[in-house]
Amino acid sequence: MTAGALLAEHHYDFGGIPLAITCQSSRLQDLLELRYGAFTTSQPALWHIEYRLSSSREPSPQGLADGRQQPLRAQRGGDRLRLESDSFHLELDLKQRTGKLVGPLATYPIDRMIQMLWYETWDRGLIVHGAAFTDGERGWLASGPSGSGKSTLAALFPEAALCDELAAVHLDDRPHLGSLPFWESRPGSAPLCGIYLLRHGTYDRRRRVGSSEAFACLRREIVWPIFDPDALRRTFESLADLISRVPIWELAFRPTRDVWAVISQEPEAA
Amino acid sequence: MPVRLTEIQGAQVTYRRARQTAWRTIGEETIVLDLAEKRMVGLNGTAAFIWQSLETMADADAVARTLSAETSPDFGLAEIEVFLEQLVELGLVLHGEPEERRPVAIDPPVAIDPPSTIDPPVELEPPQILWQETVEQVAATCAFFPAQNPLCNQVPFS
Repeated sequence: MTAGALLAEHHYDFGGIPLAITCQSSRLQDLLELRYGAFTTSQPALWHIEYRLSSSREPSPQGLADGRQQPLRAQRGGDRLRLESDSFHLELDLKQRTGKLVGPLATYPIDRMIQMLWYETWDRGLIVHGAAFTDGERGWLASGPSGSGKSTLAALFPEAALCDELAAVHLDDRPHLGSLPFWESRPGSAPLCGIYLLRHGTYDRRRRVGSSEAFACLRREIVWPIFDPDALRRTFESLADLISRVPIWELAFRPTRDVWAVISQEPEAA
Repeated sequence: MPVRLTEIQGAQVTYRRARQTAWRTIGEETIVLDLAEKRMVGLNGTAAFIWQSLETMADADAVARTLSAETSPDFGLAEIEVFLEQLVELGLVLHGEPEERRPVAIDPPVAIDPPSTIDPPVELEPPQILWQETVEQVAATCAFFPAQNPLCNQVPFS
């Protein structure tokens, strides 16, 4: 540590993963607070990650459309797992649940790390590209490709929206949702009562979809842990379980608050 | 007359599922996930039934016999062989070690484990791969969208 540097530890809970991130860059600490501050927790950390800035690793060039275009390379050996992209690398000790992240002054390496740690921590569940909503007792997931209306829906119902980009689904005795810190989000969880596959419409309506159709849509909206064959298999099985256990509808909607009456209908309602 | 795949050089070509696969039946389809190639393949009912019958090593004749025992397919051995070879090309099925053909008199039917989870297909359609798709990591992160939100700037304080 350089003279005068302050090593700070920040504790967060990301969708059920208590995580401590230490860093000695005050600029990175500010960035962490700005981006993840809402997810601060006093829980003891399950994972301890040190983030070291590397001047030799520049942020990914702007213009990359999304993470699909930035290849990730994974290498596993015993209790060690290494994930590397063009701009950062992460080394994890899976037994000690510690890790070292070396990357630029940016949060996307942490976003990627959260996804990896989530799959390393939870056996039954998956991360879905979708917005999560709750009325305090029940929860719903609205999923679809970019432009389908996830953020629009979240903006219409800020009091109900937990997150508008990625949500964690836990498949325990009773499936439930947890928010993850991407774009607009706040901590929260709720029993998962239904999944909506979004599309724009001229009026609000929902249509129950069959298993095959649900799988065809949802398989493209999953954050697949392609770095780990075992996690990939578990996620595949979790998606099949999710489709068999949670009602799924196609939701066509106009961008008005009237759509909430459709979203919050009971499953058996027409 | 074309040489049947199952009779190359007088030996039975046998097939077995590759180990690095997982599969589930969802609705009308059975989806096979290749964990090594990170690819999903959707199978119709007949294809799924055949897939399951490859739990143990089998040749195309044995697969056909198992299928015929359950249904009355209006397609032949050739379609089964083509389908099995498609699976081989995709890496989902491997050729087993060729077995020397034994005298017919003592060559019993190859036993195949009865399917435990996939029912015989109701429709007598040929085995078919319905679709295949590479599993991609959807990893949306606002770091890649600097214009959409102030928080999305990669280096907001520089």
